[in-house]
Amino acid sequence: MKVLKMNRAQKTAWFIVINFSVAIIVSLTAYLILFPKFGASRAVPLALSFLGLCGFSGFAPIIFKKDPGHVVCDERDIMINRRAAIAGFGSAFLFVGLACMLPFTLMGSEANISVNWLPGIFCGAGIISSYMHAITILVMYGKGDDSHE
Amino acid sequence: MNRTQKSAWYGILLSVLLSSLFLMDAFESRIGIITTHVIGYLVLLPLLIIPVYILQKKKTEPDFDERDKSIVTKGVIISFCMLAAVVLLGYLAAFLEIWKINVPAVSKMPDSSYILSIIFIFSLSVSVLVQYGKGGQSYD
Repeated sequence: MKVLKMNRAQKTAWFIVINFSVAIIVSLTAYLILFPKFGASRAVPLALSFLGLCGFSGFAPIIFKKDPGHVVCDERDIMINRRAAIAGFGSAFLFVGLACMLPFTLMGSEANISVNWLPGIFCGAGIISSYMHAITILVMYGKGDDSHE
Repeated sequence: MNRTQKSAWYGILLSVLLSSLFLMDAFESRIGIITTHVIGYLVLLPLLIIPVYILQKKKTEPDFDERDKSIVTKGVIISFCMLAAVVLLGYLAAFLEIWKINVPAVSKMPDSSYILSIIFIFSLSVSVLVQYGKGGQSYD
C-alpha cells in the first residue's frame, strides 16, 4: 500500500482546505434551509455566521507541531510559501477590486450601500486569501508524494 | 542602480503623480474639469515616454538574478500586507463611525480600489529600495 508522506506545510494546507470547504458547505446549506422560513434579510447573516467555522484553522499549528528531529523547512519550502502568499493576497485583492466595481456597475452610480458590507468584504477577502494560499501550497508541492519528510 | 531599483524609483514617481491626479480630480469642482484633465494628460504623457528610455536594458547590465527575485517577492508580500492593513483600518473606521460616511455612495467605491493600487505601487517601490539599501549595494 502506497503511503503518502506530507510535510507540516502540506498537512496544515490540507487542514485549512478541508475546514474552509466544510464551513462554506455548511453556510450554503444553512442558507438554503433558512431562506424559505425567514427570508433573505435574516437568512443571509445567519448563514454567513457559519463561516466562523473557518476560525478552527487557527488550531493547525497546535495540531501539526514542529518535529524537533527534522529540518523544519528548507529554501524550496520558503519559496513555495512566499509564492502561495502572493497568490492568496492577489486573489484577495482581486476580490476587493470586484467588490468595489460590481456595485457601481450593477446598481448604478446614484446608489448607496450599507457600511455593514465593508467588514464583510474584508472578511471575504481574508477567507479567499487563506483558501488560495492553502490550495497553491498543495498544487506547488504536487500530490504529496514529493515532499521532504 | 540596476533595473529593479530604477523601476522602484519610477514606481514612487508614478504613485505620487497618480495620487496628485486623484487629488486634482477631487477638487475639480473648484478649479474646473477641463483644467484638471489638461494638467492630467500633460503629466501622464511624459510618464508613458520617460520609462522607455530610462528602463531600457543596457548590454553591461546583469540579468535579473535570484537575489533580485527574492527582493521583489518579499516586496510584493510586504505591499499586500500593507494593503490589508489599510483596507482593515479604512473599513473599520467607516463601520465604527470614526470616519463619518454612514451610507457610502457606490460611485465612490471604484475610487477606493484606485487608491489601493497607488498604495500598492508605492509600498512595493519603497520596500524594494529599502531592501537594496540606499542604492549603494547594487550590481552596477
